[in-house]
Amino acid sequence: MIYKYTSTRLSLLLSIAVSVFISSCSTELTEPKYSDGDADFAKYIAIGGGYSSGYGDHALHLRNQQHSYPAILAERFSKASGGEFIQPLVNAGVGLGLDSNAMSILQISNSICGDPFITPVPADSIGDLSNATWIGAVIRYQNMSVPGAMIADLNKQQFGDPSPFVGNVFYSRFAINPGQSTVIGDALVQSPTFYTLWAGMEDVYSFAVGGGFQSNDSITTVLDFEASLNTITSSFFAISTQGAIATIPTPDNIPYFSVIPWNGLELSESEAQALTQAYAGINPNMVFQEGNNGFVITDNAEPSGIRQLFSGELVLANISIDSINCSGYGATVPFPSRLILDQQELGLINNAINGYNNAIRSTASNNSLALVEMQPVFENIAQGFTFNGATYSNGQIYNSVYSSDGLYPNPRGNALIANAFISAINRKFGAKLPFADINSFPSNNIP
Amino acid sequence: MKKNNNNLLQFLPKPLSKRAFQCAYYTIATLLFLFIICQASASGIENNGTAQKAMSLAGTFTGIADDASALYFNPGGIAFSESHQIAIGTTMLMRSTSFLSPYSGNHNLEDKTAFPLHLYAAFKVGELSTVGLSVNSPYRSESQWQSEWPGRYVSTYYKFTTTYVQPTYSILLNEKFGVGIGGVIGFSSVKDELTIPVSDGTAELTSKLDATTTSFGINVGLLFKMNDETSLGLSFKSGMKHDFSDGTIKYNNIPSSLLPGYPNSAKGSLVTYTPNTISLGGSHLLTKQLLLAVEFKYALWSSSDTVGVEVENYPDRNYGVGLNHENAFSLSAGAEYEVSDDITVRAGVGYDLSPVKNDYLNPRMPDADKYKFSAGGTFRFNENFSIAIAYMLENFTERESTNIQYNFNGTYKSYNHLVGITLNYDI
Repeated sequence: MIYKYTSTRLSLLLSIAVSVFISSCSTELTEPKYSDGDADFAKYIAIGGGYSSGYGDHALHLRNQQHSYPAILAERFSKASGGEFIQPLVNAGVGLGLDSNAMSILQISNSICGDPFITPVPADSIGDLSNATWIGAVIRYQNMSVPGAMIADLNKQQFGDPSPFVGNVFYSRFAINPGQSTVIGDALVQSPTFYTLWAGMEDVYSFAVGGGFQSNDSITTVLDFEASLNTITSSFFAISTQGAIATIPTPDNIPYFSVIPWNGLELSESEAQALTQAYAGINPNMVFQEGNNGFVITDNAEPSGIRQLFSGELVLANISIDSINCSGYGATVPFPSRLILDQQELGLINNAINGYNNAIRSTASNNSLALVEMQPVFENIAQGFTFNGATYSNGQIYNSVYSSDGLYPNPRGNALIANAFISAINRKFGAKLPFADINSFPSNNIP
Repeated sequence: MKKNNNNLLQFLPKPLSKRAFQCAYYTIATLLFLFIICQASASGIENNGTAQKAMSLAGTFTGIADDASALYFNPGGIAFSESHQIAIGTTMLMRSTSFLSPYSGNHNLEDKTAFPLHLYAAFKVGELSTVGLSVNSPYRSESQWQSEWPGRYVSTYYKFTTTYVQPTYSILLNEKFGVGIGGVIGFSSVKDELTIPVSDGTAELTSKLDATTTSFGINVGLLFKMNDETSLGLSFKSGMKHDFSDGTIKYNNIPSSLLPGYPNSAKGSLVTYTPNTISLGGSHLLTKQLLLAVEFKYALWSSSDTVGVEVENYPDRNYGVGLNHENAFSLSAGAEYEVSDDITVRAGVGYDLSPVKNDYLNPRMPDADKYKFSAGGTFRFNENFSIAIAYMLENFTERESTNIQYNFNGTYKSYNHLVGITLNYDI
């Protein structure tokens, strides 16, 4: 009898144990519920220039384009109301650059005087020109960003003209009606519910990247910029498209303008003395000291034609670091002025950026757009940061969020930019979108 | 069914209680069934499955210390032993942990099941003295994450195991006081693997550290039998410095441009600590059949700050894992009920505070405060031979953390299931 009683008890206990056990099998946690808030991501269109197209490594190439920030954003939008997002993808391979060049890849190069170093080299002598083939007949593309597009180009018919030297091949290849349609027109015809606009980079950076030397790439005036901007935003406003708009960051945080510091000329005491003596007869203001010194540049504004860089002036990254280290570049051989941004050029650049950004901010507020401030994003990258165990900085090519050109982001950089958009969109529209995991995207291929 | 039993009976050494057998049979079958339906992985730095009697009481054993496993839990208790005792067993450790990334949903620890063994042997060497040997794995942790998971730059695999071998001498000071002291030789091993954010385009660089070492400590205990009903126990287990000075670190998928900075293989070392612990427990025989026990344990984890990994001749490859542990206590209570001469059942509950501060929570050891629920029993087959079985559920509280060293954010949730068996033989 006692046994029976105990065994019933025991089986009861066991069945309780079983149910506790089974309920304890899964540790899976409930994901937060994502939502679009007051926004609607059903049809998302991205407008912009090279930064928005996925351009990187000196070209529009497949891997970077697949991870453009609009593509990353669209994937995050799909957690809420977002649908599919079609990009005008180029063919796999070496891609196509603004100068018909191929993408660059990182390679080990032998130094003239020191250790081998990593440097970007073109993957081929010319880009893949088959990418110019028109692909706009049937498919409507949602990433309407065009490398090299100034803001005014977005409303110009001839911008899509495929004739040589007239339009821009990166638009004509996917324009609905090349030479007739415009970027904005092709966007509006798709009845977007949401758009992102990051235009104006080319309007100032074409000048900056060329060292302020190319007169045909002069900076768009603030007035012209504002006019173009208002045309664009009001045409989207007219069809009640919500959106987000981004400001323009200054060049000083971008590796292309900052990896070689203005005072990167490191000299020993004897080298400093020798250099001071060598320039004494040309420009007596040039005095070199042991340690860091401003690089020597040519400057037509100087009576002697030669001076040292001032604090704050920027050296472009297409100067060979090996030539600096080994061939007296920037010391006995002055940098040509087209490879630096001097104070006057920086003044023009920064004034334009300020003006553009004020226009962007007021447009954002007038059209109820989410405003994405890019300066803090680029400052944060420049200062270096740690994310999920990876430490990123501008100084090293290994853990950079920039592509091998030092100017355009790699997929991880695009994820950071996408996150800035997400943050602004969540705030403006009360949406609840998850951020992108930067580390889940490809980084630069290290040889 | 009956026929089956009879067949099986033939294999057992002596006539045994049919009732004990049936209970044991059903319980083991149930536990086995539970194991099959709920495969998971192993871990938890402190292994609570070092003996089934203690485990079924949620670890509440310092104030009881009345079987061979007292050698480990409270060496003072073994002095009261009236026979030679040998116990041998294993506990199956199954851990499941999920990590909820704010970016990409749930990521689960990969399945690993471990079967650490334990052995306790105590021999009377006179009226008052007992010598013994305890072999077990009191600390054990294993976490295997998927190679592409968001935390791969923090950790992809971590394993820390210990085997403590403890020769022990125990003596009855008088009929109420037993004291014991053991020297502990700790054989420990560690593996630490992670991914480094550098890729040649095909695969990311990985780092694998593998090391073993031997360390030393002591284990002292005191059991005070106030009267026939009530006992108090106190034990101190010294912490150990596990100085892995002779390990190997290997790097895979090194881009050729980085070869000067990364060796394919090099000598790697690290130092890690297990804590000093003090346990205070009491037990009281409420009725002839019912024993109640409680225990308070304090683990002085704060001596471990950082696990520093050093790579010989490659100082740029050194890395440190910030721990910054704090002292932590745990409380537990257990009850033992003697159903018959052959069957004793037990249950226990406990609560352990995690020594890991929130800012330092690391996927190598996704710890959290936890509740322990346990049950088990001993089935005596004859005068000499008995089997103890036990099950414990460690329910870790859900824990959100941003590790400040890695800027790594997410929420962890873990369960740890322990199922074990210990065979006891008394002479």
